[in-house]
Amino acid sequence: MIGRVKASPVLDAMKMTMSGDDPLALQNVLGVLGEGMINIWLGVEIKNKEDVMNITLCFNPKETDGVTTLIQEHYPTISFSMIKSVRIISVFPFRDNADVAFRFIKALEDNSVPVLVLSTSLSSISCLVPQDYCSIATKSLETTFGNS
Amino acid sequence: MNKEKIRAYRIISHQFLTLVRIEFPGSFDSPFGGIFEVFKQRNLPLRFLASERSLKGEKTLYLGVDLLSEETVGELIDALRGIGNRKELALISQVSMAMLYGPHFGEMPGIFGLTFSAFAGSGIIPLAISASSSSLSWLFPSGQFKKALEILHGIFEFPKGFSSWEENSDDL
Repeated sequence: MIGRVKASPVLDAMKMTMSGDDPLALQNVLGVLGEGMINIWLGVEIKNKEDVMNITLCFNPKETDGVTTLIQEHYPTISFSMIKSVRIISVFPFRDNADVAFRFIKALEDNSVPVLVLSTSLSSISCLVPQDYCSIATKSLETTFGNS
Repeated sequence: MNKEKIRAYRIISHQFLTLVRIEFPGSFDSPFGGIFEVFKQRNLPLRFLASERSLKGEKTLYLGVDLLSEETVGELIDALRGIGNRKELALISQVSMAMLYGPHFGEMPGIFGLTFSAFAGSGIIPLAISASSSSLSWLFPSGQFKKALEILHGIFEFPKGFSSWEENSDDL
């Protein structure tokens, strides 16, 4: 299957961990970011076995200072970490196809690309990688999906 | 954000899925390739796929597949047990997912928070969320599926006669 590979502009990512018993905390953080008109390019939240929510939110680096200020002002007790300069790399089409997922992740693993986040929509599979790995990730995926 | 409904182009839902949750410790590479190969060999469509790394480096992988029979669950567990470095493996039946598509979502800051707030306000805490600039996906316990869809239909409006599933665009 031939696929298209797309890379996002350089983004920053914020990682947070919160108790799954307290959705209000995440609700409030997302509410504050929404009121601040922060555009989230990629957002993933997953609960683990201990009912802890692990969250990653990506946004334009120009908004990083604003995001940090908003959260520290409104919710100073929330701990988070910022990962500077990341890229979202997507392959189209995906369409729930396990073979595409396998080839996608194998291309990245074979080239030792660290995957920070993995997500899918109906027609794409995407990963979040450090900017330093964007070139090799894109090239390996283009080779794998015949778009080179 | 005002109270007018937000236009969305499509909603896709799967009411009965089996969730495969695999967790990895922070100190090891996560052999996702081996995991996806297991699903590929069995030709299982991946209705939901997301992986997240905690602040400590631990990884959690969620895979949602069409509801599996007990026999297939047993066979899948056997195959996945062979995956190295895993800390936790669980197959959870009766989960549901909804995916909403809107190519303009990226121009609407706050939409992620708006939907999460609406769910949380009704006591629905998604097991997982995946949001991009053109789609939002949620994984719920099946018991919360109907209510979750009602909430989404209360927030979003869809084109008249919209189809819930069309594979005619690469930009979903």
